[in-house]
Amino acid sequence: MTGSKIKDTDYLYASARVKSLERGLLSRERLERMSEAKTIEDALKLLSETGWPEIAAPGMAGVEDALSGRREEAFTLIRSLAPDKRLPDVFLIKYDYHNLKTLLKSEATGENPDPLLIGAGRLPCPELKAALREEDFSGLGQIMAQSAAEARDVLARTQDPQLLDLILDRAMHEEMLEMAASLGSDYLLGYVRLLIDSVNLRVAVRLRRMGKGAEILRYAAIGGGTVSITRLLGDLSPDVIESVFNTSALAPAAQAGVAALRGESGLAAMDLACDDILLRYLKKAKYVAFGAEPLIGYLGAVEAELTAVRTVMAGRLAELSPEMITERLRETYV
Amino acid sequence: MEWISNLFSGTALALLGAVLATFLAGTGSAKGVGIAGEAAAGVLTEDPGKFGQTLLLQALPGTQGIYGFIIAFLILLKIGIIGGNPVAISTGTGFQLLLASLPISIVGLTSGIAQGRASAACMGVIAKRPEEIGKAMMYPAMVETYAVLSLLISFLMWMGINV
Repeated sequence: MTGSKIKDTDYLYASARVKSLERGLLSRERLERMSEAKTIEDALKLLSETGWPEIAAPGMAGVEDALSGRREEAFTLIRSLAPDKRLPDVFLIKYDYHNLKTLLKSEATGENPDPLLIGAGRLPCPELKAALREEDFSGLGQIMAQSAAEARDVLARTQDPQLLDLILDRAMHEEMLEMAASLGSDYLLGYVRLLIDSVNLRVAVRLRRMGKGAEILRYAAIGGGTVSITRLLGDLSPDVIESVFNTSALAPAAQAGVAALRGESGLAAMDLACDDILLRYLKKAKYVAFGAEPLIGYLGAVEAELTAVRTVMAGRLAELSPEMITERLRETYV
Repeated sequence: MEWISNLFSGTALALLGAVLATFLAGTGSAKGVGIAGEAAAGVLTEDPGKFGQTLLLQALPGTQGIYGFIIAFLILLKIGIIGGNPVAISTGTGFQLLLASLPISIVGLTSGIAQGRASAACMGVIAKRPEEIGKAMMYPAMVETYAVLSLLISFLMWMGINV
């Protein structure tokens, strides 16, 4: 597809196939039934009825194996279907940065990073390890290479892992934005921008809650979102947070965040509202007959489904009540 | 300059009409059926049981090519190319036959592609709610109206032209 612009008709086969696959996604109703099932085995049976692999060992390790299997399957499929093979990468960047953070932190603490690494990213973990060991960042891409060097340096000087997270989070979103823009899908770009807004909102509320000043937001805020956060850099009070976000799609989440700051509710309500707003944005793809949107929407839906299954199964294994599990569940794509 | 007069002879112009009707309306249908077929294959990969429904939707944009073929055939019949007795017709009459072919030629091309896209979109309906095939078929079928109207006008013009 190089040299010519990708048209929506290049996605005819892919979109139709993905729309067929959407039928296999878990509905809210099934997730609730899994939360209410008598035994964990019953819950797993409800899962395998929808085409999930049988999970033999009813522990979190078995569930995590199944989850990464599903993720791998979905991403491989979309990569094979998309005219531009980089399409799934926007969703995979976060695993690369997660691994990078883990490896850099383990350098400082001396702990074994392997159990925390996630093999789902664009870069295989051994390659990333080798790059860090040999200080050869040429295979990482410009933004990642720069931020890795900066983060390692800052960690060595300050011993503050939070700063490392902030630097790498900012770089990650910058890279996501750049990639979404280069893929030429307004829908994907809109999603990444909304994601950046939601991260800014969460960070602003959390910093305020920790009693930190607006200065640190200058370091943590991510540019490129739809909401201008310049006003927050001067004043991080709940009223300003609410007024900055109240004309955006994230207004309900901002209200939940402000309610948490006033002690009326917990931060979980804001996180849930953010995730629901992002998923509702993705759902717009359901009304696009063919194009990149159904593929991107499906990837978002699969990731949301993996989170939902993890929430339900972790809740079940921790013997939480069905109500406690379902109130943690996010909106579903189907 | 005999070639110019040959080029603008009644028979050559009438043949051009038949060519356009076949070529443009046929291209419209080929593209439309192709578009719908690609989407149909996507549905079929995941659910081979939906072959019948997807085939029905894929066939809808195929009619424009047939309409173009009908008009081309009628023109060839009128000027005697079919039957082996070419009739000598005036440049004016040839031009009239060319004009008569244009409605189905042009509308056949555009509506075939448009109908193919509507059919492909409805493959998504079949993927998710196969029981709604009756309703889903209505959308691409609406596009057919305009192909039929242009066929009708082409046909009426053809009828009224005397050679």
